[in-house]
Amino acid sequence: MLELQNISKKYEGFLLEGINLQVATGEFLALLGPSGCGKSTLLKIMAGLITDFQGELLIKKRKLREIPVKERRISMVFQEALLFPHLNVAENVAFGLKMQGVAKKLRMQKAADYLELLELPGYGARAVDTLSGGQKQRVALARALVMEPEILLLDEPLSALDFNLRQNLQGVLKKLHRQKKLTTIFVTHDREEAFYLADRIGILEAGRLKQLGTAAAMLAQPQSAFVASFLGERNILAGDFLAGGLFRSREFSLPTSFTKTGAGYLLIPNQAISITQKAKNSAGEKTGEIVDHYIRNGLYHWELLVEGERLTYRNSQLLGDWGLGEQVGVQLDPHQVLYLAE
Amino acid sequence: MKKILVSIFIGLIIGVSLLTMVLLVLKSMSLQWNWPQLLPRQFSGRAWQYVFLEEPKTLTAIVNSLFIALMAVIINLMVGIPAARYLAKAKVKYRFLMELIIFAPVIVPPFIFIMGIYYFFIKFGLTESYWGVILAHLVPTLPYMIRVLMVSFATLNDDYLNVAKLLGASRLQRYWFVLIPRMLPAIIGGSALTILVSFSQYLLTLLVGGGEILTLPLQIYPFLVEGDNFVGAVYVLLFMVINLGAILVVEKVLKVYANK
Repeated sequence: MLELQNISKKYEGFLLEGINLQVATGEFLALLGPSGCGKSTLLKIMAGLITDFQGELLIKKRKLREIPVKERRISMVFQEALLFPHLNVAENVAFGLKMQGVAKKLRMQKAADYLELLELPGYGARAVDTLSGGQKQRVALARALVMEPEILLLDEPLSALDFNLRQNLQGVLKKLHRQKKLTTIFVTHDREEAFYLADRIGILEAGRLKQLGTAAAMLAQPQSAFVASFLGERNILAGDFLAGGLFRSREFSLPTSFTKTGAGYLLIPNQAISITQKAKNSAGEKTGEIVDHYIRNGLYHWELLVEGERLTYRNSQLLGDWGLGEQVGVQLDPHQVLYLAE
Repeated sequence: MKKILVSIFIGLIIGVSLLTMVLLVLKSMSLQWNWPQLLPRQFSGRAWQYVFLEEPKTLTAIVNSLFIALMAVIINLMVGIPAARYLAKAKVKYRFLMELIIFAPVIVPPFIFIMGIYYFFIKFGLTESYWGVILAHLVPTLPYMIRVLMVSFATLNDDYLNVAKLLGASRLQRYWFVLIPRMLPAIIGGSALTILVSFSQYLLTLLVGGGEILTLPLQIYPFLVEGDNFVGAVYVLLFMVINLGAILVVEKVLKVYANK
């Protein structure tokens, strides 16, 4: 459906470089990255709002530059709702239809239909400044969808909303996507949002696409420390891999089965860790000192100091009533740790 | 303390303005009013009758003033909106210098730029014509229009126009349906200033119009300087009413357009 070939663009302060990407019809792709990584610029390029870029952008095998704007069938929703303040809700939704010359009666009917689809029935006559933030964003979505686009671009449309509203609208988006099977590209800096919504995720760092794949595949094998940490991994240690597979980072060491040597990162996923009451001289067991413990996202978290490195372990069970400074036994399964080159 | 001072100051301004109006009305209705009389002894409708019934040039002057101010507003909007947008939004080198050139006519003494215009207009054969006068009136009014619009553009989020573009609006449609309605307060402000400044041009109209184009200030001036200043008082009142009326009508028209 949508194909990006070697897209590059110089932009104030950063560079989009050599972005290659294919989006299938009906796919929901999330572009995930910290602010300033170029993801919004990339989206504007896809929308045809930025045209002075290198590389090629194809929609259904046609070059975007050669498709007249009216035939592109791309809609976009921005971080702000950007509703036209001088128009009421229905007129906002019907704006694009009016530009196409659709008769007033028909376009108002369609606007009402889409407002109903977005759970805002009867809001048509309201002034836009009477709406809440979430309602405004839903009107903006209705305004984009009423055009019946083939591609929907979403530029952090939920990031200005508070937590509960965001979750609610995430649900709305997911339902809509399942209903309409719209090819959707969603830019966000919130990995949970990307995990929840997207079929595939592309991670951007400083203008480069670092990794592209399903959330599960990326979590199973992230390609860099940046990707791993952006996906939420906490235990990424920088160090050296020595001959024979030994990983060493200052005081910390762990035998692994990796054959690569030299500087690199060791990723210790949560499932590679287990902690127990401190036992004496158990083989392969390390000593960890509890430096913090708390509950987050419904999981018990322990932060441990193990051979000078701080590791985080989480579990749905309260494993023990350990206080700060107490020592516990830590087992690290060398078969479940991952090697990251960069 | 500060509040009291501000209140006194505002009160003084309003008081003096109202007193002037009252004096003007009294003057226009009196037959004679000599020093040291506090109030005129005899009242008469003579001056009013002269202005509205006997002097046919009154109507000509009103129509001309309105026509010239209205044309100045229209042209200012057509020129000023793109210019202000460019100055406010684009990465302009020497922006300060460009602004300075645009604002020069309201910074330098009027006589200087009026003589400059006069000289060039004679060369290009633009004097003694409506279009010449209208063109000349752009010079002192456009700076105000651009200034007001620039402030508004500086706070405009360009993504509004991007949204409209993605919804299929052509360049013209984006101007007409998005930009202009959003800029309406600034457009009204700039238009009011244009009318105000255009209405009060005396020397500029006199020279460029070559005495052929009669506007209200030209019609009023002789009465105030040496002639019958009872008639002058009527004209001054008329000038104020028409000026204010024009501003209100333009504002109303723009608002109706925006809400349709």
